[in-house]
Amino acid sequence: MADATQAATAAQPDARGFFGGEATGFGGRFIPETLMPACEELEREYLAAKKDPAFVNELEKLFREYVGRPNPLTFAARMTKDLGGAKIYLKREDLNHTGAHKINNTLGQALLTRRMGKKRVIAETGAGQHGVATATAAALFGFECCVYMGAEDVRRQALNVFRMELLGSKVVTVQSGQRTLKDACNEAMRDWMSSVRDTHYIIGSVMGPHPFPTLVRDFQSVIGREVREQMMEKEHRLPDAIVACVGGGSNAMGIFYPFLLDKDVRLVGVEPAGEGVDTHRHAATLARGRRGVLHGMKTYVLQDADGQTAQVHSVSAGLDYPGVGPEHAYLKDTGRAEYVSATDTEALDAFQYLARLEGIIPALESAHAIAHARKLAKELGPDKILVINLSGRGDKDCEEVRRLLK
Amino acid sequence: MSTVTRIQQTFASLKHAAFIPFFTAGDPDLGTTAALVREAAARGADLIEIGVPFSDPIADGPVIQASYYRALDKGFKVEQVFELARALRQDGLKTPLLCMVSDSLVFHRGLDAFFGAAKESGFDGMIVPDLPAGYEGDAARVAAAKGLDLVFLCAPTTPPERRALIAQRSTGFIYYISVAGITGTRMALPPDLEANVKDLRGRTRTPVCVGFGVSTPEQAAAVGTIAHGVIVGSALVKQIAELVKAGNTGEKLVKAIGAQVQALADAAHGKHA
Repeated sequence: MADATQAATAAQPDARGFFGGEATGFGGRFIPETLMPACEELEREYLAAKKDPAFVNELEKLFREYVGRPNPLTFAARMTKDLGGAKIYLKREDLNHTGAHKINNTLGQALLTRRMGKKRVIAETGAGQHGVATATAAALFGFECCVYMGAEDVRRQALNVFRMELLGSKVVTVQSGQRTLKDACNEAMRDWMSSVRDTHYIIGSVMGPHPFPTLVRDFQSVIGREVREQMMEKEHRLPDAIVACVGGGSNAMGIFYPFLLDKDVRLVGVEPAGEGVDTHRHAATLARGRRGVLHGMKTYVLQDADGQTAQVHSVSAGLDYPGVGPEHAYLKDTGRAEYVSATDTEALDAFQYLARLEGIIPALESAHAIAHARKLAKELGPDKILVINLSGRGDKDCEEVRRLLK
Repeated sequence: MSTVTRIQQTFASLKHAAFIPFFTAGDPDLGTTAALVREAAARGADLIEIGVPFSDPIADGPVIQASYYRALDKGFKVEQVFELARALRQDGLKTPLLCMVSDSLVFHRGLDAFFGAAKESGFDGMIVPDLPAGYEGDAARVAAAKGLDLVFLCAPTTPPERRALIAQRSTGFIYYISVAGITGTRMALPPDLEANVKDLRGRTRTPVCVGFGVSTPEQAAAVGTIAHGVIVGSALVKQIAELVKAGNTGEKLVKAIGAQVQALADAAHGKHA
């Protein structure tokens, strides 16, 4: 049964967008004044939409008839046998339309965009999955769309750039800074500053200023709700552990959230350790970051000694980010979720492992979760159940992996 | 604090609109920034804003961001902005100095430590563009305790209830953003500018200064007739970058920017060429 702490955990954030209170918590709204009214409007619109059956029904219909939800919870028989530990299930977000969990959020925000009477959307993207999902939603709703993507990611994810353009979006290559996800966020924010009156910024993860971390979590929590139902159907009980990769953390938040009150379910987030968390080339924010402010939120951030955002690295473009969603920071501090990491090498191994054992090529992001699950399954033992959030498919990564394995 | 700050004294004594140039600390180098500040003060700047380079400045436009990256690439450290202010004060500079800095850097050092160092080194006010009214936490209290003004920004998109809050919280002056956009040079001033500035002035006795998008003496003259102050940043920073690129550094750069500052200051002050 849920105790008071558990209930408090699930009731976050407070009205001002802080997880764990304003004084010591995470989240908030640390943005230029120009964007304040837009965030306030979005919050009002979202609160109203949540209670509007027409909105809820339309989103559910889109999930069903456009995304293809519910997607399966697949028993990974050969992987389970190979590891000789816990029974492993895969939540198949890779089977969604556009190939990842990102579409759950972009459709929800597209509906909000239409409610607000805006006609243009913008987005940042790392691996390109959120960019593709935003471009898809924009095409479906007839919005003008512009996606910002770092030059390094444009190189790594060329196919997704083409997909976005095919869907009618403009892709802007960002040449500033490290030329990856954080720089794409800076540019998208900058666009929003001058276009805020007719443009909605579809943030792709549980990050940014309030209410984005909350509404993205809520749209993504369809993942966890389905897992719950499917688990009860198949095993007549809840799983013992849930594993998901964490960059900004939206697929993890989506699968964790409906289980926050079930304290016997271990929630495990896997961060990108790059070349190792003790090197300077990783993006394991919760493992090595400190409290800071980035992109409108108070959260854990990887910074240098002077407070400048640190250079980060991951083989996976979607996890290559120096911050993390504020709710993950809160769940780490309260101990409700545990956070570990997997290296580039472990992720590349897991990428091939799942392909060979289960006939599923995972996204490099999701491969981080697979990598840790290989250890955790053995640790848990045979009478336990482990769910891995297979957040996306790996087609987009095949070129890059082929290059790396040469 | 009941004491009158240097910024408040300046506005109280001015008979015309104030001219407020912005320079990025460490672009092209700290020595030149110091010389630029001294030159600007000598050429008619009434207050001066100094920007602290940050790796992820979401409130600034591409021109200022590029200047931040140039300074950071040369190894700029936050401590150096305090050394800069200290040196300027030791030199006898009397002009009010404002420190424009991202909340990321303030939070990293700690609010009390950052504001304390700013005050001690000779700054008179703080502008933290990503710390909007209502989310400033202890910043207003700490600034007041240290004798620093804390300037809040107000945008064309800001609704009346937030304008009231900003008018109430901001000290020294209110920084009105002339365009709903990031800092940068714009061709024409937006049509809603005058009405919005008038609205703000009707809410408070705190001076209202206009920045973001003011670049030419003509614009400065126009803004000078409706606001208490005219802020120019990107136009100067852009000119500095171009001069450096063309090989004009040191004295040559300082004199050229000085002439630009004088033209803008004269225009803001209502002196017609």
